[in-house]
Amino acid sequence: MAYAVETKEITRYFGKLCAVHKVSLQVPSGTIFGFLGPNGAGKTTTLRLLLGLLELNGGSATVLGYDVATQADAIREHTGVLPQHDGLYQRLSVYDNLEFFGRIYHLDKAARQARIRELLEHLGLWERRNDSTAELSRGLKQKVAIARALLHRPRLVFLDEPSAGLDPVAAVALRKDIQSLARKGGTTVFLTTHNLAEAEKVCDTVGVIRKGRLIAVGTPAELRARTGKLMAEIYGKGFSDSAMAALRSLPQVSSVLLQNDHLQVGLQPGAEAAPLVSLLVDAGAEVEEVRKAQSSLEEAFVTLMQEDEKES
Amino acid sequence: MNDIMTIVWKELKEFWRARGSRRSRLLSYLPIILVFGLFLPLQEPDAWIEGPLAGVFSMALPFILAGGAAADSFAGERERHTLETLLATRLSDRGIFVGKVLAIVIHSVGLAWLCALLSLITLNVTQSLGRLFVYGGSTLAMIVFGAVLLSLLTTATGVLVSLRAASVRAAAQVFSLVTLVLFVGGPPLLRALPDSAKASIEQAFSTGNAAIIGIAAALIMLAIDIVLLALGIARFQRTRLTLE
Repeated sequence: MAYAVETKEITRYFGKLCAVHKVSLQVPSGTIFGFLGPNGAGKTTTLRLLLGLLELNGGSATVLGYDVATQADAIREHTGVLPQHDGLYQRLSVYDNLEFFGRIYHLDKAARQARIRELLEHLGLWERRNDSTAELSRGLKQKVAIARALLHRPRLVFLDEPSAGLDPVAAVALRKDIQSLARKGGTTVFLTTHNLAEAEKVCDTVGVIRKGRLIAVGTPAELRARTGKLMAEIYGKGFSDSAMAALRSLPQVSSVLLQNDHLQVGLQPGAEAAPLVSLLVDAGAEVEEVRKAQSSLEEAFVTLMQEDEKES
Repeated sequence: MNDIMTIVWKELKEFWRARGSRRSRLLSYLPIILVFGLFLPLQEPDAWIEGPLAGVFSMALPFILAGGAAADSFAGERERHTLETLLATRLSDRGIFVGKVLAIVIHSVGLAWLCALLSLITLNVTQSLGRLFVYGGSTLAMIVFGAVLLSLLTTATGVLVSLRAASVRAAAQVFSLVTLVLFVGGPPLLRALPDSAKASIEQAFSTGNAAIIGIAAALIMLAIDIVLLALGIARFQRTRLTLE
């Protein structure tokens, strides 16, 4: 399998502080990779290392097949970047910001004009192309910055907190755009985010980093399964004390919580919900709805953080 | 070359648009043009053309304009959070550095040349009475070469300071300090020269060979410009700039 990003134990120190410690990961081409972690975990530093904006203190990495230590120019040629701050020139108009980056990537005049128009129309900003960037809202600036990152049709885009500051509607639209980039365009997307719900919906694989160490990698489902709890949510009436006691005595049940007519039953891995329903019905309860659910990526993320905290 | 011209294009756009609306942009340049292109030449028309006044002002203007722009060059990008985006592009280090220097020189010298041309037109229109006002050779050399060399010197120094400064204010303060040291430190430096060198300089001044003095001064300035630019290019390192 071809990897757009492949790192082997990359390490970076700032003085005595180890910002990134022996991080090894592989991101297949054409997929969306989410890099998750709390503030100061090392996400942005990793991204800067991959772009050759910081030097490695240890390990090795390739991006699109180019070595980050010796071929950083080639990496920057073929990647698009949306850093934490939008990085737009506030004194320039929306169009001129994109025009500048089009020139940087040697798009000829006709191709540049067509591409800028295509992106601005898609993002609903064509009518505002002559406005000064300083006049735009935070969300609109973010859209322009995303257009800038995609202008030269890069094979890989690094998005650092892309939905930060976007309203819910714009965030949903962005999510669709990111997915369409990978699915239709074959572009690899490497995004860092705090928004775990977003990562769960968009990413094919995620990596979790804490204090510079990669503590988990996998699909969102794998991480949920690895760290999350299996639950049965049962809605109905007549959940008596004796029925609750009987439920708690079952070996496959780890916890029982009753809130009004909503029963939350924690299950051991691989447990089925059907025997619980039979038991409740036999005990005289009226069951209206049963749903088996796994904890969210957010819960899995919190569990991972807590586990790592205990270990360290 | 393409990279350099791309940066020049962006920088000149930013200079122009930094002054707000089209009207306020024109108004911001108007005082400079009126003073250097109309008011000063009309005070002493003959001295302006035949003496060194026009040359001196044409060199002073880029010095004044370039200092502020140079201090802003990298520190401003860092302060406005655009530096990382710029460094993450395919642009070469040299392209970014030289592009920024060139844009400041074009802007400052361009304005000086515009004023010099305007003053010539002003004098010929208002004072000529059948006489054609043209700059003498030494004045023209100061306008054409002196302005470029002094602008380069100011810009290279300012950009060098700006590369490592945390903010535009810090860069401007250090740049002012450097300028002050050069001005204050100049005379003691001359006194510290070997006697033979001092004698040669005195002789050149006493014989009044302005051309030789001018060429020597230009060559010294050119050498300093080259050293400062080389130093700037050597100090421009993406990995260090990202950290600061």
